[in-house]
Amino acid sequence: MAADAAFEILYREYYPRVYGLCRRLLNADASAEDATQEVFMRAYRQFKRYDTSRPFWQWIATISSNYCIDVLRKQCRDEQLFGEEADELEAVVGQADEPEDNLVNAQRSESLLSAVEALPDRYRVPLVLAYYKQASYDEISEELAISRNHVGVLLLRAKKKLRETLQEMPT
Amino acid sequence: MTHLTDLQLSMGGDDETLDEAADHHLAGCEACRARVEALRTERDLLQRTLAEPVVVPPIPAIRFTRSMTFGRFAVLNVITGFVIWSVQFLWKMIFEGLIFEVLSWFDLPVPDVFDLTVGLVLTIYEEGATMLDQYLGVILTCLLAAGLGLAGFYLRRLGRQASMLALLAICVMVVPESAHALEVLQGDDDAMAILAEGELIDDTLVAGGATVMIDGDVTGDLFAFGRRIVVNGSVGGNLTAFGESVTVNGGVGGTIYSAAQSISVRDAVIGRNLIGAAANIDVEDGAEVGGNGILAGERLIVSGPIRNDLVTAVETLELDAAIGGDVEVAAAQIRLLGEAAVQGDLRVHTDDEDNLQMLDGAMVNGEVAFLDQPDDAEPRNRYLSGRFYLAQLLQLVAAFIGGMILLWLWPGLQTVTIDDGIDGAKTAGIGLVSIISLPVVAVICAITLVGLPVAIIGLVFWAAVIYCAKIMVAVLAGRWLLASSDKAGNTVAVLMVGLLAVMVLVNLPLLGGIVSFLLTIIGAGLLMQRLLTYATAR
Repeated sequence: MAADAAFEILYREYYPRVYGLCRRLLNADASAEDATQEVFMRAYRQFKRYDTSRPFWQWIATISSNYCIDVLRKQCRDEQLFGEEADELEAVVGQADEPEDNLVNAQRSESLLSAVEALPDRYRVPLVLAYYKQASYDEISEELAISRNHVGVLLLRAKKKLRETLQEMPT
Repeated sequence: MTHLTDLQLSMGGDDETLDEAADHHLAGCEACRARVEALRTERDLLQRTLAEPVVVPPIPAIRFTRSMTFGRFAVLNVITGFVIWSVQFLWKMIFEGLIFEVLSWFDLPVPDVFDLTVGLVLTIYEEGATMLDQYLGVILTCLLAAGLGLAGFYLRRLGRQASMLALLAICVMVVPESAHALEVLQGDDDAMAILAEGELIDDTLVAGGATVMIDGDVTGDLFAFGRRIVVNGSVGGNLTAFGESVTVNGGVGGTIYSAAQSISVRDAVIGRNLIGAAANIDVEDGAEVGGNGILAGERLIVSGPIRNDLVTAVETLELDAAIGGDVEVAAAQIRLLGEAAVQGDLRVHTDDEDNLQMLDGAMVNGEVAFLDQPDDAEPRNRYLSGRFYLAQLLQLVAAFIGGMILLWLWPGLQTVTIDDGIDGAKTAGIGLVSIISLPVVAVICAITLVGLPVAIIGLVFWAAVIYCAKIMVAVLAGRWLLASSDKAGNTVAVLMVGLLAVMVLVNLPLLGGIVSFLLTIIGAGLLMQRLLTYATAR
């Protein structure tokens, strides 16, 4: 069928990007491979509902992030994967401010990537959604089922942790 | 002046909207603007870094297949129905309309259905064990090949040599067996199985052939299959005979069980009963039945005595012998000839009393009663019999045990739901189509011979679906009935309450049959939907 053929083409074209998103969200190659296949199977089953006026990437990226977040939630022993907003905010207030230059000065992307990978799930997931998927705070808050402010706090803490990690890394 | 908080700055750096006061401050504060700019640079760096391509593994070939929808399922069934109709049409046209017609032009003997059946039974008898062995061999080989194939798939990283070895092993095992298993063998029309006079078999004997001639003696049971079976010797045990014509001349110590075109008992003394079905049955005057005669067919002539009762359903009965007990007969024509002597009662099921003719000399010591045809008999009220309630209790216990085993094996079935009316109708539709199509497909598989094991598995599966269907509905009903109680999560309580409800419903006077049918198709639909969902998810 024509729809099947079209989907095959989209599968070939978008597999690397979807894999990349799953890899960044799940932080493991094998899990990312499984997740990517599952994402495409889900997309195939829902393909009739795809609104062609929207970019395909937005649609499949949402399926991917939803699936990966589900996987992470199942893996997480804590009831709340992304913690309480008040606790996170309190931790931010107590921290000394680091200059943004630390991160910008990290010329080697490998260092930055390994610092991202070292982040706990609760910080890495919103960071990847914001800067890899380039989702807005509202979109992220909807996906993670937390408030917009909570998203902002998590991203703030994620970036602070990245700066700290990079500062500790040997130059 | 109070500067923006880190959170506000971070949000500004991500180009997120801030409140009015923060925007106003940012417009007038050089320091905060500088930090927001720095954060934007940081964001850009993060975006660039994260967008760097990761090492992507080879793209696996996924076969995208649509899950089975009700529409597709229905279309498939329509296609299946069309194929069945076409096969039937072709069969009638080619065999009945063409081959038989052409054969009749040349005046060739055309085998009738009975003849074909006997031929088939002979073939199965002669070659059945080998065929079964071969089928089992094929099934085992396929399972082994599938296992090796799967092992090969998961161990494919071992390299080409290992894969080639596995492939070679599969070929060695599969090819010769498959070729061997498809061979179809025919019986030899001239084959005769003869136990010569004077020979003695001190055991059970199974004899098969176009003609079975038993002139010797058998101390145990005799099982005989053939077109023509003649037993002249004596049989110590039971005689089971299936053939076109069966003739018994010797003594039989036990019971005769026989089905044939014609059964003829001549000079035989039968120790116990004569049980048979045939177009023509003849118990001649030299024969004697020590027990009961239970016989069905078109034409029955009894000229030899029967010590106990005679029970028969035939078109025509001619009785010209002594019957020690009662005679119960359903027939269109009954003639008691001069030598007929019934010691007990004569109960006749016939439309018209004139259908009974008693000639001079015929005698009935007991009463002669005319009864309705069995079909017209007034049905008993089943609710008044204790046996009915005992049977229901046994069914309930069996269904409960079966249900618990089913739910233990497949816990997901505890959560089946019918969300709304449309789903209910859809579920019932799937159930109905499944119940109708499964046996049809199984029969088609059976016709192909190669598919015989598949057909058997299919029929077993079909029977299991029908049995489990009401259990599924019971789970649903039990959950619904106990929804507001604290037992809602208790599987035992849910199943028992549901089964009781289903049992009451299917035994309702007048409506019970329809309710039973509806519950069966709904339950079957629920099961099939779960199976399809499970298969799709896998």
